[in-house]
Amino acid sequence: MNKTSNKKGSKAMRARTVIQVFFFLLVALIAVNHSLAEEGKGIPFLSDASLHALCPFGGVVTIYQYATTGTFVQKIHESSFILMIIAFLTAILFGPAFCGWLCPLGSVQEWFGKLGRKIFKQKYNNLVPAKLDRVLRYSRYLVLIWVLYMTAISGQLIFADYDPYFALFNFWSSEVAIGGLIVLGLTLLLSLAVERPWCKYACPYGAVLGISNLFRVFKIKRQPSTCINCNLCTKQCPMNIDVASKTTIKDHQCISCLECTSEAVCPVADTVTLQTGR
Amino acid sequence: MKIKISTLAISMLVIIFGGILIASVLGVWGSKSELEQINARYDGMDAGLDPAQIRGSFSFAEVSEFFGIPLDVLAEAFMLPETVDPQYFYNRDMEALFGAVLTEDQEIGNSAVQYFVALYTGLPYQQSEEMYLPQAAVDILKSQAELTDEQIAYLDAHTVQIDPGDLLAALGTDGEEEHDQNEAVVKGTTTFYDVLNWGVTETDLMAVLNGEMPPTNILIRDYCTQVGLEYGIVKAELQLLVDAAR
Repeated sequence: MNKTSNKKGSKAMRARTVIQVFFFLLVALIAVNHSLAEEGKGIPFLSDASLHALCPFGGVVTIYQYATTGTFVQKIHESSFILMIIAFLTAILFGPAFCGWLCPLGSVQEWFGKLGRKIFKQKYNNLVPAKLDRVLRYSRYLVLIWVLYMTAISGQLIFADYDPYFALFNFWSSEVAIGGLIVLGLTLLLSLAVERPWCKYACPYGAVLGISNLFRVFKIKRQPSTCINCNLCTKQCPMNIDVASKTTIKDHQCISCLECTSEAVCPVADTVTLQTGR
Repeated sequence: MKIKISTLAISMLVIIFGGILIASVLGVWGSKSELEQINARYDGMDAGLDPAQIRGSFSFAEVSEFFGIPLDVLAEAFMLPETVDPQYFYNRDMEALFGAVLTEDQEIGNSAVQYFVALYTGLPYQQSEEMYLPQAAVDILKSQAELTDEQIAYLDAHTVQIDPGDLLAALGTDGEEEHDQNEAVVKGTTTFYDVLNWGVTETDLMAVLNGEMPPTNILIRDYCTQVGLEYGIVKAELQLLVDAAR
């Protein structure tokens, strides 16, 4: 049996960490540059776009307005629309890899979670009762419906007042609503006990991309014939998906982080993989 | 077909940055501010920049650059106190500056800058509401711009005498009231949703518009432009309804 060592696994996953850090720094730098540019001190050769222009969810919330009036919701730019299309393309191919690999808010929650692991040890990410957790996992669809409805009738970026992503990269500016700062604070606090709490229970964009898990081209698959039932894949999953009991992961919560795969935590080669086919 | 983690990583980067590159080449990647986009489309006044495109997000420095009006002329016309750097004074802050010293039916905001620029440069401008300018702006226009008798008469009837000391006092209290998101003032960024939210009924709204209820998410100003209504009149009538409802 061809085994994959943990060392090799962690080396493979380093690519994800590098990309997460890169996108976090990129978005942070652009957000700072946006503030500097307003004072005429912008950094040359670096975009000073507003954060709204860099958020693909802005494209999603403006679809209705664009279809009915031909205009964008206030503060939304064409780039949000383009990013939405690009993110949809990646989701059709790889599922919500945007969430697992790029989203800076997801990354920050993961980094806070590393501290949480040290505090709660084995109990970390297993503190919410299973029955309650199962129901709460769908609450993000309620958030999505509320955001889409309110934006559609108002023509305004209603969610910006509660958006922890916007608050994270604008906490120094007067543009941030107190609601956003409170939600951000709660998210970071909960991240110490639960992995990616915002993604699991409240993120409306994660709700949209999560649907792609039902029809994505490259799926995460487990080969029962070579599986040794060690359950490491299930234990490693940040979204608490029971990978070890499934042959194809179609859970709407999967973020395609690939932490469960044979290149990462699974000790048996070619047993949990990202592949096409039924 | 199986793919590795590294393949996924590279694919994601290629799709994202490749997508942005393609969008940029096709000219549909609009992440820049409205001002920068306008700047890219027009090469200054000679290329036909329209004063109506001046937005609240424009600083005086940008208005100066685009329309060739010296910065100190703008600062003097709109009575900027010496403590305010005109380079970084934004049109959207005009209402905060003049709001406290004007009567209810008067307004000196972004539209006043548009109007001043149009008269100063002689560029065509579709005036859609009553315009008021400070005495200093009117004096500059009379001495430096080529005005018709009709324009001079209009300016004389719409000149506002303002004590610079009052403006300094207004700046001192600037901020909270003007930036209160609950303020019920009909302006360029107001949607029909806002007006309904402030207590105006659909029936009253339709009476003002003399037609069907438009989509609530549309800007009132855009709607008026689309259907050929006089924005200034609609705005004034709606403001009366809003004030009555509150």
